[in-house]
Amino acid sequence: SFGYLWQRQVSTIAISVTMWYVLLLVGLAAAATDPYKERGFKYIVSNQKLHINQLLEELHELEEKFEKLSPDVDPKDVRHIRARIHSLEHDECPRHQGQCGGDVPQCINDLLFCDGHKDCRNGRDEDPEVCSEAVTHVGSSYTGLATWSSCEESRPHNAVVTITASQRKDFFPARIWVRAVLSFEIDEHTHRITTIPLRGYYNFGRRALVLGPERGQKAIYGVRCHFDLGDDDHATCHIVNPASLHECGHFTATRY
Amino acid sequence: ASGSLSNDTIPTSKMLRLFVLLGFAVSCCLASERQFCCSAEDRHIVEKQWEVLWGDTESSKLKIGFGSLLLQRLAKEVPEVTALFKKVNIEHPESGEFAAHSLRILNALDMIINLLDDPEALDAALDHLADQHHDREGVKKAHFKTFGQILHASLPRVLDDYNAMSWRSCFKGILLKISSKLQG
Repeated sequence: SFGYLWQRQVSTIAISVTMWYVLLLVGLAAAATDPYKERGFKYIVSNQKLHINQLLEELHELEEKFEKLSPDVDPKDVRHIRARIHSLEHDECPRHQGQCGGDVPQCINDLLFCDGHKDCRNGRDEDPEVCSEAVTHVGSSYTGLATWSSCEESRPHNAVVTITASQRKDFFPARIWVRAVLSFEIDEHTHRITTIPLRGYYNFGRRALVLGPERGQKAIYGVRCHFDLGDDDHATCHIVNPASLHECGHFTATRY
Repeated sequence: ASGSLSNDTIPTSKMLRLFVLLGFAVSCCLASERQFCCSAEDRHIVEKQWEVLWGDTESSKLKIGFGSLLLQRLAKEVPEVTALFKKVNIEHPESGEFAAHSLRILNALDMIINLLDDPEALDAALDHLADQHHDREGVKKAHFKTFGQILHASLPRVLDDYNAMSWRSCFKGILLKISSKLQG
């Protein structure tokens, strides 16, 4: 009878263990269906993020490699080179005439530029770019290292032409009348500066700023600047004798 | 000198013009040192005309010849100078000492002319030369004046192109500066 009792007890324990196990399983299953899915989803998301990061890194490396290649050419440089080629091509117009430009070259008198009437076949003589008054805006300064070939015994030094006044007359708009000042350092140590008052005009057709001595002043120097580099900010300037136009010095001017 | 129509007034007007011009050249040299006296163009002319002499490789022969000629003329016109050049053996103009000294003087002249483009360096060089002449007792300002006259008389003989105005206006200042530290 002891043996039977033992067997019953064992089977009861087994049943209860099995029951507890099933209960545990059921409970676990009930608890785990949601978190498992979420974790799997999170895993996939972080995986994608890692993948994107890697792609970004590769892209970054490529960008760096690309940046190490030479940069794009500055459009200003292209304009300057084109202007210099243009001035070497010798399609210069005769005296007192200006080039219309464009595909079919045409020269017209420089008195006809920017006067409100189209005289070029392509109408370039009234083009807002050609008729830009920017060169003569009061306060514009053109600076460059002046080299002297005569008149002044001096090593190269900075020369400045500054526009102090400008006026365009309604009845004669083909010129802008200007007042300007030419100044340059004559002694580096004592910082002595010569200032020469000038007056003259800007000629649209020839893109030239022509300056002579101011009324009542000693006729020492005049200045001729050609804005021949394709914009209003760069010019080739010559310091000349106002009477003979004999060249004393020259400088390549930049608007400052 | 304008509007002279008759033939005989032309020479006088030309003379007058030259006179005025010469007077102007002298007075401007005294008045303003910078712009007019020995101007940039004067300096270029002097350099260009001087350069003609040194075309050959045997330039030192020419320098010695020209230099000793200048010094001998100076000694002839101002006899007291002979004593000053005793150390360099002026009694024997063919001697090595005197040849070397002639070369020295001509080289100094050459240096001055080649420094005309650089006024600051020229000033320094002239100052140095003034010091060197200050140390020689008996050298007088009048000697430099005579030397200048001899130079202006001799240069046109060796130079085909000689712009007297430019040379004069430049060398006046140069000789004055070299003799500026002398007593008499």
